[in-house]
Amino acid sequence: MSKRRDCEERFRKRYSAPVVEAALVVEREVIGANVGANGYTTVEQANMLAQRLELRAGATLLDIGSGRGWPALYLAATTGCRAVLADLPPAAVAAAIGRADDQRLSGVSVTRASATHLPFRAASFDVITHTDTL
Amino acid sequence: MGFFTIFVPEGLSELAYKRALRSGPRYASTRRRYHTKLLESAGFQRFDEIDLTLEFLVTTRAWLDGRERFRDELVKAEGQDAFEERQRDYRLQAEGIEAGLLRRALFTCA
Repeated sequence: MSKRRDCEERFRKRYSAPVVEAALVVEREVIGANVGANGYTTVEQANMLAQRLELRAGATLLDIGSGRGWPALYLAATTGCRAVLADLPPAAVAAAIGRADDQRLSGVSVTRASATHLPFRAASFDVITHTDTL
Repeated sequence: MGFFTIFVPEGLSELAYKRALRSGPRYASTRRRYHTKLLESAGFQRFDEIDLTLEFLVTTRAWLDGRERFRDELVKAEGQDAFEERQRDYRLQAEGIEAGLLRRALFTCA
């Protein structure tokens, strides 16, 4: 199996596993909140990212490899920026849409797209982020 | 633009580099120089780097230890093989970070 396919398969399995209370407890301990994270970006680091990028209401953010929406949904909720999330695993995209709906974030859209074939015109975004993305 | 990234530090021997690749996430094969060259070639004039390697070790160990505490519940949810594989990956990664083979940083650029 190619390296890319291997990674895609791993992420597909990871995002498809049911979320149980034990996983939520561990996530709160590691990340600092239940935000759908399975990586290494803590709440403190997401705040640092927002501060360094000077994210603000009205800005448009593209998050590549957005997973289940962490930290892009958090950044949209805390700064008021509009956010477009892009990732490939269908389970991750569905989870991100569900989280955005749950939080009633109106300025958020989620698309299934690869970082190498983004369906956007040049200069569509004020800020681009990604966190430990493949 | 801002991104968190895991990478292999510069200056490792080929042997250490290969060990670093085995320690890190399967996609962490780039060296820091790659990021800076890429940013320069994309037209970014200046960028800042904040080293988060210590925090990376803390979160890696926290995933490992926390998941181990809830082993039974997580094995049921993820399956035995997937659970063991992730734990093995976290263990290897923690060892790699401690050995100076892996780093993590936040790059911001304009």
